[in-house]
Amino acid sequence: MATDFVELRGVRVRLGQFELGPFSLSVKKGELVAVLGPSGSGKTTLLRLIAGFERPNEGSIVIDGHVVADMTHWVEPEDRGVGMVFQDYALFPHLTVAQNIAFGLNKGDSCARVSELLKLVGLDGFAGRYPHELSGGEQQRVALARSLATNPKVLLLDEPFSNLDADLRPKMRAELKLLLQRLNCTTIFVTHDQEEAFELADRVAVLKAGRLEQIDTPENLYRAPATRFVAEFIGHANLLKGRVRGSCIETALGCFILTRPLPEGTLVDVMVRPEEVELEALATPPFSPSPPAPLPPKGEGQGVRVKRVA
Amino acid sequence: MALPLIVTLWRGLSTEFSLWATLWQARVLPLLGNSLALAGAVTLGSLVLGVLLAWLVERTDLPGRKIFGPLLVATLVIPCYLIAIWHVSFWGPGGLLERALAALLGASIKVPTIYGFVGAWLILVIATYPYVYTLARAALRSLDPQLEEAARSLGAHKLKIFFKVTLPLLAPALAAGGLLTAVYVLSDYGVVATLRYETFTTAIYKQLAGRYDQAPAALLSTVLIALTVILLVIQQRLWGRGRHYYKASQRALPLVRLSVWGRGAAMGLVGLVLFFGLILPSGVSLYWWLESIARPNPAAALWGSSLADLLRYAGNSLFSAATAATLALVLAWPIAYRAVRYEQHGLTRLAQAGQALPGVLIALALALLLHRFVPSLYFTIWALIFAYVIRFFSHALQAVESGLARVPVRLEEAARSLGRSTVSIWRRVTFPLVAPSVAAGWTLVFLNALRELPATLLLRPPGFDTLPVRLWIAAGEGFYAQAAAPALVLIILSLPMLYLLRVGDRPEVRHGD
Repeated sequence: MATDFVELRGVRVRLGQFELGPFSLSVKKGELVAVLGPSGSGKTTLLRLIAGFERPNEGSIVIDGHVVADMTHWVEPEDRGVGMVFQDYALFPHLTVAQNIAFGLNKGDSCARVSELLKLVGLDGFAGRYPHELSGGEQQRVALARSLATNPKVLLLDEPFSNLDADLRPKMRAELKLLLQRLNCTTIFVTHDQEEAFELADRVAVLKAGRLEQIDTPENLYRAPATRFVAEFIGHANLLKGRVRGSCIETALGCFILTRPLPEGTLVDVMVRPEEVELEALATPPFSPSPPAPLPPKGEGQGVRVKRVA
Repeated sequence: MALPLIVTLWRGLSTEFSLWATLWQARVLPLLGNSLALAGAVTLGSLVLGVLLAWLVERTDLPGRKIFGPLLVATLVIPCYLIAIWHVSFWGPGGLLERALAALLGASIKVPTIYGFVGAWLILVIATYPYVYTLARAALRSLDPQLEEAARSLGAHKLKIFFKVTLPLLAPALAAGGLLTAVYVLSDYGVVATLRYETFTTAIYKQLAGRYDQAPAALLSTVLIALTVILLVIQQRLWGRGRHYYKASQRALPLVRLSVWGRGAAMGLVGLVLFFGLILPSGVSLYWWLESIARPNPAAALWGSSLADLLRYAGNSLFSAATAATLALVLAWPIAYRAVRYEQHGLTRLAQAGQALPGVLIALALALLLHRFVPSLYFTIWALIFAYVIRFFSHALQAVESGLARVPVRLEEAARSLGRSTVSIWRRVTFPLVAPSVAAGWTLVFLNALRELPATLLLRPPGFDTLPVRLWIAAGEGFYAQAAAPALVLIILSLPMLYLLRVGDRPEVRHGD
């Protein structure tokens, strides 16, 4: 089961000024992978490559053991069996909900399948409505049902929650997670919201300026980021300049134990996550005697700004 | 502005029933058949040609599409009765083609006749496809490319996407373009008269010009008005329902790659359309003009084709068109102001009634009206100018309205709070800001009035000839060489239209009928 189901090998694509890759990425069957990165990092382009809307200039893309794109092979998007939910859903405005969902189906078996899908996404009774009569959340569910209708091998979601109201997102996220787990569908979704990626995905790929920085489980990304960018992009990171001395790193805040051997005198950055810091009041003040100005509370814990006077 | 309409209807409906009964069988039914058949066939032809050309220019890698795009609208520069006249002088019996064939092959070969339904259909399709083409192009450009991509990701192939996604999304634009075409064909006089195909407009014209019998003319007009009104009501309905889809994605769709054969066929089609609509008419008029210089006809003096005469006709045209345009703008200003600032559109709707009415009808209505109430104005240049204003008033109104809609009320309120009077605000704030739109509206009315034919023919005072009238009469008698000079002057004077079309991409310039 744990074989690579979707595989990108050394893919590189150039679109005007923008260049993506070269990079490699593999997704296992049934896995839910999030692609995370700031805007302009090439997340959507990555999805469009897999869907077949862009052609790679180099490298190859394999889906379910078939090469769909390389220097000699090319499978058109309509023949790839890849379902895509677009960022603004791209529902056909001239078709009803039922007609939208049935678009990719054959005439014969569409009726039963449509009602089955409507039930699946919790939209029974919406069959006759037009897209503009639906709320954002309902539109998203229709788009999802439409792409699931053809039983795609891979499901691609482009910023699935970005067009929803902030208070609707957690609910839709939970619903989507349940649904995808139930269907055991191989899914790649793009987001710029780290919380979203961490809650939904088995693994998260972090992209920066068209390059893959790291792909790993959320836990590992947080604890052991591969690059400075990943460390800063995911959660809050305090980075301290330091120098290797013997078996420890000397920083302005004191010494840290060296986790793996580095040559003496190397300049390094030490990442300290906010929750790993504990503040203790000192009797003699090397720090400002005035009480530290509290920052607005943020999630669990509290940010504290400390002024050093020495 | 609606007065002519009311007068005509009243006159038509108040005729005796016996006249209705006799005319219905003998005249109305055949004319109805002729007009509807032509309108339907031309609309269909324009839709197919317009969509095809729009698609080729917008969505394929057709070589030279950047040039063809605007060029395909440029046929509107040549008034459509001119296109018809030059085609007849080329294909018609004893025309240029037969002469050339005789000179080349030494044998006389008969070209199939251009007169009748097929000829009228062809010329009108060439003349009206730009209406559909411009609207379809704009619609294609505003289509959300993601919709077609979504269809592809659902496994739909090209044909299915075109018929199930693209075409339904273009439907509102196509309906608008099709109706515009149908209304235009019903109102056309020049083309059907040149190609000797009888419709309501030619029949009404004959009644008016030949016998000056107003009762049957009013009766036929009533039927024509009814037809036009039906189409206009449908149009209004469709506009109301027109679903406007916004374009979410800025990404351009990849162009469809044409095969070598496809490319050849596409180039052939574009070439053919440009040949019929632009190259042949301008080439033939140049030919006749050169011939009139090379071989002066002794009878030409009769036609008054000297330079002085030509300047006089041009002067008449320019004067009447410019006066009409100015008058239309002056009248449009308060109505548009009221409509935009106080959101009272009732007057605007009524004032636009003239837009869809054939020139023949407006001439008839004015004749009825002036004859009875102001005989001193009858057959004066003012009757003519009044007809132009009524016919093209809606252009002036639309231009001023769209200009005013872009001037925020806040600006006027700010000026008022600074102690300015209404007139002073108009002069110093509103008008300078609306000036570009007003200029565009003036030019539209001016150009349309410049090429107006049927109402001019019927209402002009004796001896007052405009360029269209002159070339029309000359061509009607077969003196094509004498028609060439006024035709060329008319085309040159129409060239500013190219700029308007480029700016607006709007099919608001009527083709001159």
